Amino acid sequence: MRADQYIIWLLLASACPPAIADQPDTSGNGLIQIPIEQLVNMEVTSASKIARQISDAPSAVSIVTAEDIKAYGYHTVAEILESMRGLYITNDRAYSFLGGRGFGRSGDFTGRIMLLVDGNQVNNNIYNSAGLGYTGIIDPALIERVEYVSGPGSAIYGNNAFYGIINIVTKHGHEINGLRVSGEIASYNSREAKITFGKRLDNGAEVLLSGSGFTSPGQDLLFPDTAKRLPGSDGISHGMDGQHNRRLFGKFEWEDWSAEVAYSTRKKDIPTAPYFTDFNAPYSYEDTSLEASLRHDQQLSNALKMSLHTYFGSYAYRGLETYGSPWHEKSMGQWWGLNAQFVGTWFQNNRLVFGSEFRNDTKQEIANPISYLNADEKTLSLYAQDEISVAPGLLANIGARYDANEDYSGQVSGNISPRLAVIYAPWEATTLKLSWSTAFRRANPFEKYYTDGSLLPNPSIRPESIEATELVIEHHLDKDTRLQGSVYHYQTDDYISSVKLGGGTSQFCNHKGGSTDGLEVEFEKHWDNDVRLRASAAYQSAENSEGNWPANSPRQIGKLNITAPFLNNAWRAGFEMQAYSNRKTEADTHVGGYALANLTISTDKLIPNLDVAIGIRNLFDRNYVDVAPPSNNLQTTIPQDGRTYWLRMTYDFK
Amino acid sequence: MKRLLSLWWLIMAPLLTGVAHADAVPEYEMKAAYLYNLATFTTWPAQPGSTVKLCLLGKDHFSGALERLTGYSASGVRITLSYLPNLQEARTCQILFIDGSEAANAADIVKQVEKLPVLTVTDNLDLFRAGVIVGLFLDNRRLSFDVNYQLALNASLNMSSKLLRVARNVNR
Repeated sequence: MRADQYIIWLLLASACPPAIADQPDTSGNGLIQIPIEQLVNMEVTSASKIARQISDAPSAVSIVTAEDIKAYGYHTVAEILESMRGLYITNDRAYSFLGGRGFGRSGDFTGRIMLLVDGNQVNNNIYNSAGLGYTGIIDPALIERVEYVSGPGSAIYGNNAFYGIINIVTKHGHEINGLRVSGEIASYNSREAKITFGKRLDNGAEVLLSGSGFTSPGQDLLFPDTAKRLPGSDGISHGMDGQHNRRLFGKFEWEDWSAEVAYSTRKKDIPTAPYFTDFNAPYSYEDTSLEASLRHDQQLSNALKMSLHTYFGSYAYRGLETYGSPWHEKSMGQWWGLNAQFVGTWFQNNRLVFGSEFRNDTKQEIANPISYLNADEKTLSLYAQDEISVAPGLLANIGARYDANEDYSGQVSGNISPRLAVIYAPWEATTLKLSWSTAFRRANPFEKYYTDGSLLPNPSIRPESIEATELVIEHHLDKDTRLQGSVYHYQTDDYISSVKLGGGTSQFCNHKGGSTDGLEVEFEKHWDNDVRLRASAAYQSAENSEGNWPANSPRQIGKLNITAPFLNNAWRAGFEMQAYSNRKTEADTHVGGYALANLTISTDKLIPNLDVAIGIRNLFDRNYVDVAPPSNNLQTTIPQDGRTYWLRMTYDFK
Repeated sequence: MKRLLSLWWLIMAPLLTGVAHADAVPEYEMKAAYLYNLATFTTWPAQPGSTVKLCLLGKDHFSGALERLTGYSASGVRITLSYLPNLQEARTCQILFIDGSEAANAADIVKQVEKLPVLTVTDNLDLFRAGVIVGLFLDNRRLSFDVNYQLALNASLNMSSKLLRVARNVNR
C-alpha cells in the first residue's frame, strides 16, 4: 500500500463517475408556480426553534449551540460537555477527562471518544487523546455548535470512534462580521484575551481569523490525602497550579472550497506530584497541537456528490517531572491523510454514502531519559453505508467500514466495523431508532511501546472492541418541545487497561471486557419569549471485566439548563445545575454525590456593540472532590474549586 | 434496572399514540415563495432589466430555499442572491430581507435604508414596527403579510394592487 498509488486511484475514481442514469432534481421550490392568492391560504409549519442534529447518525444526539455557549458563558469544551445528557468531566488538575455511559476512568488519556472539528479528527496519534479543557484546539467563542453523538462510530470513522463522537462546527466569518475584541478577568487572577476578525467578502468568500490567550497563576492547593501519606508534609502545594494557553485559528471558505488551520499550546504546572515524583518540586505538562485541512465539495452529477478532504496534524508533548533530579519526557506525533467521500442517490429510495480514506501516521515518537521509540503506521480504509426507504416513514441503515493497518514492523492487521439501524417515524412528531453498532480501537504507541522502567511495553497487545445496542425514541410534543429517551447495552471485549505486575511494574493488557446498561431521558423546550430549557436524567449501570462497579462511574447523572431574558429583553440570565451520585475511587473507597450550580448574567444593551457577561461557577460554594487517577500515589481524591467569579467584556468594531 | 426500564417505558410509551399531520409547507419555504412574489409584483424606479437582487441581512434560516429561487425566470424575473455583511451594499439591492437577529439595531437599520429604493422585508415584529416595509407573520397556521404602504411610496416603490389585495393589513 503506497500513498502515491492511492492518490492516483482516488483521482481516477473521482474523474470517472459511474455511468448510471441520473434522476431529475426535484428539490426546487415548486411553490413559486402557485399564485399568491392561493399561497396566503396554504397551511404552514413554523420552523422549530430547537436545533436539529446535523450528524448523520442513527443514535441519540445532544446539541449545544453558540447561543447556549453565550448564555451560559462556557470557557472550554469541557464546560460545554458537562452540561450535556449523561456526561461528566473529571479534573485531576492536569487534564479534563470525559466520562459517560460506563466509560470515564480518571487519568485515562485515550478517552475513547473521537473529537471532530469541522469533520477533521483532532485526537493525537500518541495517546489518542483530544484536549477538552484549555488544551482544546478550538476557542469556544468560535463554535457554532457542538453535537455529542453517543455510541460506537467506527462504521464511518474507523479507529477510536469507540464510545462516541463529539462533532464541533465552527462559525462562519459573517457571523462575527467585523473585528471582535474580548477580555476577561476571573478568580485567582486568571485573565483571557481574544481577538477575532470575521467577514463575508463581496465575492462571497468567508474569512475568519482569531487569536487568544489565557493565563492563570493558579492557587496554593491543600490535598488532605497527601498530608496523611507524606510524612512531614502539610499537603499544601505552593505555586504549582499555573496554566497558560495560546490559540490561533484561521478559516477561509470560497464556493465549494474550505481551508482551515488551528493551533493551540498549553502549559500547566501539576500540583499533585503523581508517578511517585517529589511533592512541591518542578512538574509541568506542555501540549501543543496543530491541525490543517483542505476540503472540496463537488456535485459531480445530479445524483452524485463528492467530498474530498485532506488533512495534516501534529502534536507535541513535553513533560518535566522531578525524581530528586529533573526527568524530561517528550513525545511528538505527526500524521496526514486523504478522505474521499461520495453520496450517491442513483437508486430510488436509496442514499448511498461510500468512500475511502488513507492515513499515514508518519511520526509517533516518545523519548524519556531511559528509552526512545519512533513508530509509524499506515491505514487504508473503505466504507459504505446505504440508507434505504423501505416504506413511508421507515428507513433502514446498513453500513460497514474496513480498516487495514500496517504498523512500523510491517505487520498488517484488519478490522471490520458493521452497523445496522432501523429508523421508524410512525407520524411526523415521533421517531424511533433501533441500532446495533460496533467499534474498535488499536492500542496507541504509548500503550504498546512506552516504557519508563516501571511501565513495561506490550507490543503484542490486540485492538479492543465494543458492541452496542440502543433504542432511541424522539418525540416533538409541539414544534418547540422535544423529548428524547434512550435505552442501551454496551459490551466491550479485549478491553485495554493497565494492570499492576510484581515489583512495582505495570503494563497495558487486554482484558475480558465489561458491560454497561443504561437509560436516559432528555427534555428540551424553547418558549416564544426566548426562554430555553434543557433537562436530562441518565442512569448507567457499568460492570468491569471482574463484574465489579468500575471506579469513577456515577450511576445517576442529572442536568438542568435554563436561560431567560429579563428587563425588557435587555439582559439574559443562564442558570445550570449538574448532579452526580456517588462514585468509587481507585482505592475502592466511595466519594459522595454532589450537585453544582452555575449562573451567568449577560447584556449587550449597556453600550452599543458592547457585550458584558458576569458569571459565578459553583454558585453555592459546594465542597466536592473528583476521583484521582490511579497514577496519583499521593491522592485518592482531588478537591475541586469552590465558588469562582468571572467578568467578560466583548466589543464589536463594526 | 428492570424497575427503571419499566419506568422509562411508562414515560416514553404515551408518545407512540400521536396523530398524523396533514402535509403543510415549511415556514421558510413559504417565506421564500413570498419573496419571489414580491419581486414579481413590485416595480422599482430604475430597475436594471428584469433582474431583482435579493439581499439577506442577519442569520440565514432559509436552509437553501433562497438559492433555489435564483436563476428562475418563468415569470420573466431573474433573481440574484447576496448575503450582506453590513448595510453599505444595501443600495445595490432591490429587496432586503432582514432577519430577527438584527432586531437589536432596528432603528439604525431603518434609518440607513428608508430613503433608498429598496423593498425591505422582515419576519420580526420589532423590525416591522421600526419601519420595515413588508412584514411576514404566521397567523393561524397561515403566512400573512402586512405592508407599511406609506413607506413604500416614500421609497418610490410601486407595489401592484394584486399584491396589496391579498395583504392582511395595509397601513396607508
